[in-house]
Amino acid sequence: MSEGGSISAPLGERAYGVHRTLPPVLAVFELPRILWEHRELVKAMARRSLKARFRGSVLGLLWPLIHPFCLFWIYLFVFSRIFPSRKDFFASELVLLGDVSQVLRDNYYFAVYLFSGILAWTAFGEAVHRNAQAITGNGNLIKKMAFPSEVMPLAECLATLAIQVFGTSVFLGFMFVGGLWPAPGPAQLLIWPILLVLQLVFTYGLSLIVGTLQVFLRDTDHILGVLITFWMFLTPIFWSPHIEALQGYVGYFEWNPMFHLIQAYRNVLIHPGCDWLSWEAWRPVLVFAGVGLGMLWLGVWFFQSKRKRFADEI
Amino acid sequence: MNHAIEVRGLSKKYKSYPTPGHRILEALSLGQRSFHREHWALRDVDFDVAKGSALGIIGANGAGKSTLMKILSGTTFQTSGTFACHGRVSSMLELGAGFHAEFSGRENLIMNGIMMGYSRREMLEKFDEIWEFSELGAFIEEPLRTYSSGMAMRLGFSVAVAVDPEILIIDEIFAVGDMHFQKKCIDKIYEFRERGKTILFCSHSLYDIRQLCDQALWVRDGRIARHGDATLVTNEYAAFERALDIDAKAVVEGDLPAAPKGAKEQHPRITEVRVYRPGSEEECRECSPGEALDVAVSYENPDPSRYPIHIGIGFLRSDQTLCIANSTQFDGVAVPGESGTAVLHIPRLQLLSGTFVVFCVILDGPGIHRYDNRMAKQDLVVLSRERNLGLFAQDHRWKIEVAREVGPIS
Repeated sequence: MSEGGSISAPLGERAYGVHRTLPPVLAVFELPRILWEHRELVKAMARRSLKARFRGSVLGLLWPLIHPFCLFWIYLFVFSRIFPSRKDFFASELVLLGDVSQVLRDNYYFAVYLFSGILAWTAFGEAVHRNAQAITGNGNLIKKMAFPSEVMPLAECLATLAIQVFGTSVFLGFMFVGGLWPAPGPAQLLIWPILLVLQLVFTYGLSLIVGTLQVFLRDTDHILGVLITFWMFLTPIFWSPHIEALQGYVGYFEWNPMFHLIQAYRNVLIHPGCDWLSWEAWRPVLVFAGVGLGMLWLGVWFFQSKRKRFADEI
Repeated sequence: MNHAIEVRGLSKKYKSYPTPGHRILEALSLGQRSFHREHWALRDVDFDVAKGSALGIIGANGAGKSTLMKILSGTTFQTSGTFACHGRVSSMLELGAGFHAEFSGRENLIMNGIMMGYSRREMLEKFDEIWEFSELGAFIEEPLRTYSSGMAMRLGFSVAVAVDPEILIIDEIFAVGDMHFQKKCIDKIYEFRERGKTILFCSHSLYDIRQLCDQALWVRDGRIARHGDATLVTNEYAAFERALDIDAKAVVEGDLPAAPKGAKEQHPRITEVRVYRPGSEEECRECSPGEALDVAVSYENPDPSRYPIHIGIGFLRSDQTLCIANSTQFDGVAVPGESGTAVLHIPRLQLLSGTFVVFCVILDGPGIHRYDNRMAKQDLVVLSRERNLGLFAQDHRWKIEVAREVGPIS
C-alpha cells in the first residue's frame, strides 16, 4: 500500500492496526484474530471494568466473595423460614441426588440449588444489561480514538465472568460445608470451564446485538431491564423443570437457550449422579454450544454491519 | 510516492432526525418514507500532503474540519471518496479521551497507552519518561477525579506524544495547561516536525498554523475554499472572517462630533470617494502591500468663505482599529473652491493583510466639527504575498552579532 499510490483501501481502518478484510456476515471468522491482536487491550479493559466496580470501596475485590456468601444465607433463611416446605420440589430433585439420606437438610440443598443457577444467570444478565451501554456509554472512546470497538462488550463479559468464578468458589465452599461435596466429582469440574467459555460466547454475541441496538434505539436499555427479569423467571433458577406439574411443558423450555446452560451447570455442580458418558448429560452442553455460536455469528454480523455508523450516532 | 496522505473526493453526509421516533418510522417503512434531513459535512474534498510536511487546517466552527480529522484518523467513516495514509497514524483528537476518573494517573496513563496500541510492558518501560514530561509529580498516584482539568490535559498530552507515529493528526489541543506547559507542547510538536514526521494540524490559532505549517487548507461549508501556502491562506481566511464579523460602517458614524444642525443645505459635503491604482480608472478592490494607491474625494462646498474645510482620509480595519488617518489639516494643505477633488496619493501601501474600510470626512477649519463623511463603496482587501504578521510593514533589516567566547583569564 505504501508504493504505487493506489488508494483503494479505506486506511482509517488500519490506523491502529485494526485490519479488517471480511464482510460483516463473515466477520466472525476474523474475530479471533482481531481479538488476539488486541489481547493486551482486552485484558486491560476487562481488568479495568472489574476494578472500576469496586474502586473506592474499602473491601474492594473482596466484594465478589462477600456478596454470594451473604446471598446464600438469605436464600437459606427465606426458603427455610418464610416459604413453606417445598415437598413437590424435593420429590423431583432429590431423585437426581441419588442417596437421599445424605441430604437431610432439605432447605440447605434448596439454597445450593438456587445458588448454582443464579451464579450463571447473574453473570449473563448483568453482562447483557451492562453491554447495552457498551457503545453509547463509551462515546468518547468511539468518537475520539480509532479503536476496535468490539473489545468493549467483550471486556464487560469477561469482568462479569470473573465475578462468577469468585462466586463459584464460594459456592463450592458451601457445598463442602453442607456435606454435599463432592457432589461433582473432580472430573466433572473439568467440564465447568467449557461451560464458562460457551456462556461467554453466547453472552458476547447477545451483547454485541444489544450494544448495537442501543446506538440506534435508546429504549433498548429499558426494554432489556424488563426482558431480562422476565427471561430469568422463564429459566429454571427458582424452580425445577423436573417437578411433576411441569412435565408437559418441557418441550417449550427447550426453546430457551439459557435453560440448557443452567441444566448443564447443575449437572456439573450439584448432580452427583450425572453420567458424563451418556448422551443425556452432554445434550444441554451441545445444544447451548450450537446456539451460542449462532448467536456469536449473528452478533458479530449485526455489529460489524452497523459499526461504521457508531461515531455519527452517539 | 512522496505523499503521506492522499485524499480524493472525500464526502461525508450526516442524517438528522427530528425525534428518535422518526428514525424508527423510517426504518419500519423499509425505504418508502424518509424523515431525516441531510447535512453534508464534507463535499468532494481532494488534497495531498507531502511526506514530512505540515498541513494546517482552518475554517469556521462547523465547516467540516473535525469531520475531516476524524475520518482521517479512522473514528468515523466517509460517505464516499477515498483516502490513504501511508504510514503509521497517530491522532490526538481529544486529550485523555479514555480516562477514567476513579483510577490514578498512573493507571490511566498505562491504560491510555494500551488503547493506542502499546503493550503493557512497553508502557511500563516508557512510564518514567511520560511521567516526567507531564510534570505531575506525586499526583500521578492520585485518582484522576482529584486532578484539575489542566492537569488531566497534561497527562493526556504526555501520553499522546509518547507515540512514535509517521503521521500525526492533531485537532486543536493546544489549550493545554499553563503557559509553561503550552510552550512545552508546541516545542514537542516542532520536534515531531524536525524529525520529518507528517503533521496534519487543525487550529483556530492562525499564528500557530503559520509558524508550524508549510501549507494550509481552508475548509468552508464542507468544501475546500483555498489550499496553498500557509501564510497566504491564513491571511485570506482572516480577511474573510473579519469581513463577516463586524459591520464596521456603523462604527464610523459615531466617530466624530456632528456639525450643528439646521445649516444642512449649505454644508460642505462629499459627493464621491474612489480608491484606485494610479493611472487606472477602475475601483481597486484588492491590492498588496507596497503597491501605489490613490484615494480621491470629490467635495462640494457652497460657501467656502463661511465654511473653510479640511479633508481627512482614514483606513479602519473591520475590527474597528483605526490603522492610519491623513488629513489636509495635519499636513497643512488648503482645500479651496466650491467644488473639487482631493486626491491622497500613497506611493507604497504599508498595510498588511486585512480588510479595510476607507472612510473620508470633511471637517471644519480647526478640525473639530465634522460636516460630512462617506465610505468608499467597497472595502479594500489587502493580501500579503509574503510571510509577515501584524498590521504594518516596516523597513527593517537584521544584524546578528555572535558573542565572542571569553577564554579563562589566566
